[in-house]
Amino acid sequence: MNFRILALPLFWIATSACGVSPALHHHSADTAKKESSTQPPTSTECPFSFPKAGLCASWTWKADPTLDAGASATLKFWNAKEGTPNGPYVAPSSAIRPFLWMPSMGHGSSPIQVTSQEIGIFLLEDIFFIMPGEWTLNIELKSGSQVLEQANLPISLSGAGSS
Amino acid sequence: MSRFFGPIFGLLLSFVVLTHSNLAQAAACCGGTSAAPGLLTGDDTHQLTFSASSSSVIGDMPEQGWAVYRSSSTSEVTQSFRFEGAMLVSESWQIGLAVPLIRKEFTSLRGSDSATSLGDLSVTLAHETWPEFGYSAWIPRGFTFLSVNAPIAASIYETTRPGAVDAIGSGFWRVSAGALFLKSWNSWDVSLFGETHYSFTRNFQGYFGAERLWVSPGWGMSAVLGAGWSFASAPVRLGARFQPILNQGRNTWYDSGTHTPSASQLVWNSGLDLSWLASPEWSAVAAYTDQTWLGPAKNTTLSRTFAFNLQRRWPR
Repeated sequence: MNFRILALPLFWIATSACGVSPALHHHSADTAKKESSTQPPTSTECPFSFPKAGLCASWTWKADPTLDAGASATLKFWNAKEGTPNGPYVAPSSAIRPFLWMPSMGHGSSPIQVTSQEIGIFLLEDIFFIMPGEWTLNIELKSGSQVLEQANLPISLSGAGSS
Repeated sequence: MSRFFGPIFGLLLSFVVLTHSNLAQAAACCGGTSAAPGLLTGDDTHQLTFSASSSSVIGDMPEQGWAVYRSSSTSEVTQSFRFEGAMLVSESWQIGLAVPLIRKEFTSLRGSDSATSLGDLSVTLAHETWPEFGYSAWIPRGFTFLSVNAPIAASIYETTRPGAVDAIGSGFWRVSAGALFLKSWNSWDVSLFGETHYSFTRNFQGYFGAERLWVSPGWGMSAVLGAGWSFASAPVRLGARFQPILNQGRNTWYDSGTHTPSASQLVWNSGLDLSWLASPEWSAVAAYTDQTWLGPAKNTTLSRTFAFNLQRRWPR
């Protein structure tokens, strides 16, 4: 038997022994506990604060964010001084632009579809978290391409599916 | 028969480069690509290479902590069909062009979505800087190269499809420079490849209807250490390789000045190759590359890739 052929697997084993192998140090999303930090805090009276516009906004998931499917949510605006999270809702005088951003990666996701349902209430659809990790949910008030104000909330998404 | 197998070991070295040039797969989001070009390393004037690969993202590595393997209910698969040509333009200079066609498919409980487009093009200028003029037990044959990546395909910053399935390209002009060293002893061969690359700052006008977004990926580097063993009784080579890829964090900012730096990325490709020299003109390689075997990895997706390469060469 030619024992020289053993050198190849030995070469691989020697190199594999270096560092922390992801194959040996990983969690499985199938068994991981689903993160609970995808829901913006509801205890605060003003989850998204826009002080220049004098507005607050709340965010409620209609379909929870997972890697399995696009999420959807409702975004509601009210006057910071006169309104409450329960209303009355007011329409921002400027356009809104919601988007996801993954700070560690330096990129976002695909565009979020925005539909005005009632005064101050917007339905947001096609919210795709294209990978698990730490995201920020950003809401911009803008005039044309100029951003007037921005607020964001951190969202932690595990690799768990929706099952 | 021995006259046929005599030059085999030298020709099999070309497989080393062939596999190097096709292991640089990564999710389009993550820039975890290297820039290993396909070079003419045998005694040939031209070569054409067709490569087909299927790369599946199986997990994600955060900045800190352990990797998280993705749910079995989702899959993200990238299939690449790459056409690559290289030709000598003088005794020691060569040029090359690579054109990939890429199909990306994302499947989840909501269904399946896919997109197909040309990938980023790359052109290469290479020089045989350290030729082998005579026998040496240790001096390798060496090449240097300069390669340019043209961002033809849509990137994660230009995606319009839900789930960003159409984010196929890197999004940036990239210049890379490096060197490749090859050495063989009887049945054995060893290769060492190293390159550094710089991706230029680019602005994405109207990113999702917003103001201009500027992204600066900056510097990165990769290296490949490979070894192979060729059978004496058959024109077959077994190879193993590993490749660290490091990219610095991206700087992103808007015209308004909002600035967010990202974290650097590190991933290790490990691979096994089975090469077959059908004739001095034709050869084929089956390759497997895994990004989970070696670590540490940081801030990246983790993929497994199967590839098949077919190469036609024109000897001098």
